[in-house]
Amino acid sequence: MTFQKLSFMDCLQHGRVQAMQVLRLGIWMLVGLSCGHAAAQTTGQTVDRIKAAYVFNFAKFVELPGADDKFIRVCILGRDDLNGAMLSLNRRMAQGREIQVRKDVSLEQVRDCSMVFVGESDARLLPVLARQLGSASVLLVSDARQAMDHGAHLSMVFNDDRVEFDVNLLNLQKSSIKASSQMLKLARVVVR
Amino acid sequence: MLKTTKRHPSVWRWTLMACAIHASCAAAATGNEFLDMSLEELVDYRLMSMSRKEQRVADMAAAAHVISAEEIRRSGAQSIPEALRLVPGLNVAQMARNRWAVSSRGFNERFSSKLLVQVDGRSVYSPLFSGVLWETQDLVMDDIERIEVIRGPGAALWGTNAMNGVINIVTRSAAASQGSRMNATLGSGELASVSLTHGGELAQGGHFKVYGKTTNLGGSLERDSGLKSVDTSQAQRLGVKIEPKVDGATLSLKAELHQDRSRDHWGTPSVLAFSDPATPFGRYSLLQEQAQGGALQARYAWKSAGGADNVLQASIDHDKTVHEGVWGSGTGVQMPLGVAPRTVQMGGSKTDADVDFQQRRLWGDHDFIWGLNLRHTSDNLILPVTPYLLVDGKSQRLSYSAFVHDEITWVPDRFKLIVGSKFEKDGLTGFNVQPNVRLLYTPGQNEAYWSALSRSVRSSRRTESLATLDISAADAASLNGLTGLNLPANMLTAVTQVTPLPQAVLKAEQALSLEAGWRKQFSNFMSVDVSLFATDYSHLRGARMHSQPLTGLPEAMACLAVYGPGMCYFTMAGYNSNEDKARSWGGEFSMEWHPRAWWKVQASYSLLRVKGLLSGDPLGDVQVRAFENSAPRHQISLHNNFSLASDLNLNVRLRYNSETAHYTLNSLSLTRLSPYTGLDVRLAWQVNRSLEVSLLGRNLLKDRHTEFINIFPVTRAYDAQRSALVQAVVRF
Repeated sequence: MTFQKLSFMDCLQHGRVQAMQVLRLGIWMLVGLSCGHAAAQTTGQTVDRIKAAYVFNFAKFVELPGADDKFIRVCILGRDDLNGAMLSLNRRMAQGREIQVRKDVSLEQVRDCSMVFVGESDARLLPVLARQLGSASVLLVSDARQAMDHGAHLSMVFNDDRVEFDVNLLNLQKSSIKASSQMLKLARVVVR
Repeated sequence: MLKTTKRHPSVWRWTLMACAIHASCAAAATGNEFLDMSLEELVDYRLMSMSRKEQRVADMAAAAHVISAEEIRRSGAQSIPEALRLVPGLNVAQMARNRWAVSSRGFNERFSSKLLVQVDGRSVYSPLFSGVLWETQDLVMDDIERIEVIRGPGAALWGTNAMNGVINIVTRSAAASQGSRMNATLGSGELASVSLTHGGELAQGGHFKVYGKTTNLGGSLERDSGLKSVDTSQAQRLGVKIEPKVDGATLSLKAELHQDRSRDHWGTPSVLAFSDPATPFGRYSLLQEQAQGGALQARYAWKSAGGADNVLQASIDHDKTVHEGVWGSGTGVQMPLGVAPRTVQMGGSKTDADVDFQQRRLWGDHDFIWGLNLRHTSDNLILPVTPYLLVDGKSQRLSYSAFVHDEITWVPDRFKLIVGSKFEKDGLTGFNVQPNVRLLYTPGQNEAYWSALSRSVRSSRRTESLATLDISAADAASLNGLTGLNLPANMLTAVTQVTPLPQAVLKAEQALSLEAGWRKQFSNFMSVDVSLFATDYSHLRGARMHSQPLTGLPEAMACLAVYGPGMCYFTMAGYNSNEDKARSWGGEFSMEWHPRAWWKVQASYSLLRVKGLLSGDPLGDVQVRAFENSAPRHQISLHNNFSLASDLNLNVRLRYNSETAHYTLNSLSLTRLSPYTGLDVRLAWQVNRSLEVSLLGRNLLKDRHTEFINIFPVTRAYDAQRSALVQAVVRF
């Protein structure tokens, strides 16, 4: 598992094709052995990966505080990490900063994050978290239903055959966070 | 403008491939191809399940198109066929207010037999004529998640009847329908419709929703007189969807009931004495149609320990349609003496029980799906009198099938080879093999070329193969040359009648299709989709005249002497055949362009030619000319959507159809319908988060125009007319 994880990270970082070819065999072998529940992409998994991609885009198009910081700390509150999809953001670059995904973050630590993600199955944490954050400049993203009403800045909605996102401009202003106008145009709903 | 991040093809390829195999492992999640997509791409990204697995449209080796809920909502479509007008290349013709003829790649008729239509994976068709009775599919339009359409054969996966196209209507999951929503519509022509959906959470985990809809429509305009007819209709639908939370699996249960009542004028060739004064040798009857139906459906999806994806789906559905009125062509048991039309009930009922299993596995370069299907059908067709007569209408039959589908990555990131076949034992036409082979070439992430060769079959309907049909009636005097008599006008009626040959073997219609296509996403703002096809049809159902067609002439002469003019008839006898051949070719082009963030343009053009092989037989050639001319040769559509402000949306749709031609009752020549251009405009105002009000104008360019005339069954021709409606959608 670890070997495989590292090899992917390595390749994503450097795009070293040769290394990949050497590893190809190993990957195929591991596929059958390492993960008992390995399976094809179901709708749920794809949706999770799309949601993670949204979070990545948010990191690119929202002016996150601490611009001089080398890292964008994306914290996951609760256990729901979109079935691992959130981890794919790790070490990606956005706005010239490297994303660090942190799991198992406690409520007390959230003010140190640039962005907090709360998944659908941890929706009950949202009101508590919003209270904890107050007007702190930490971007709160969730895919829970009615996340907007519970203090989230951005939420992702899987409706129909696609994933869309909503923006709560009021909450963003309260936290002094700016989102690009281009992003607002693509939102399904902008709460003003 | 937003830009996509720079791509590393080889990395992308390997991570994606490993992901496909290993997606549920957190490690594999490191490779997420969506991360390289821009926000625009993500917003526009649609999932599609048409290939029996979820897939991007851009990656399909078929002429696929998806209409999203958003597009349906913006178009203001009030019915499924209206929504299908958004699909490039589909021919959607409105016959009357609630009756439609929908086809893909030609052969349009009210019961388009070469098009398979499913709602949530369950096939829907009328028991009477084995086509989709669109008027009984009055779904809650807000409840549709998407409509997936494949033009061209889909038989290798979906089986018999998916010859020229497959339409899969997917309704929203309960989880995506939380809260309450009401949709109220009022419009010209006595249109009134209300639908209500409510979704909530189950106490033990999971979600449910209940939904209902009732629609009332006034009469259509008659083509000949321009007067409003009495073909009013009412439809009601009630359903529930339950998705309990199951560990490691998904379970969905659905139950639905519907009833529909409508009226329509059906025409029949007729013995002179019983024909309408205005239409000698033909009569029109006002029939009351009542349809009821219900379905129970369950779908269970899980992963097995070996890593395979499994889906088990079971359904049972019952439908009943009854048409009641004074009906009959006057021919029948007392031949050569005509029988007066009487009040009859005709129609039928059908009960289907269906179990379907499929499993998807990934082995190295192979993405493999196989499946089994078992379907038991018992139906009872009640066709007691000519022109449509079936003596023993009861039948029970078992169909079973298996399919295999293998998507082989031949050259990673470049070539994919897809081979598959359906093996089916059809209860009516026996054993059929429907293979296909497809090739997908993707020179880049945003471009794909594909080609396909497929064989597909269509199982004949029992009505068209086993029933006795009166095709037309004429004055015997017009046949004096053939009969050798010198009859004056209006003495005897000559009825052209088609009966099945004794011991006739039912053969399925066959088609061999060659297709090719190209798709390219030029930028986030522009994409193009082109497909070309050529199809060779054989064993098409039709009819032939017997070599000695005159039947019962001496008896009719004797009858004439006793009963006087008009009462008696003889027949020109024909038989059901499976011999006609045809070729079709054409293409579809569509383009999507976002010139501005608030402006979206979709344009499409489709070309279709259908050329049948004329046999020289008068009956056969009528059939051939009918299908050759049933769908327009050219169709053009231009859709513009303007998001004027954050709360205003304007949708303008222009569609052009070139001329079509149709036979009418007892006519020997085709009636040509002029080309027409339709303009539909919808303006919607999102008042607040919970209320949307919209105005919709349809067919704005002309008071009325004719889009289609149906010949089987013969119904009075109606016009589509200019209309307006206002709609309010409330969420609460």
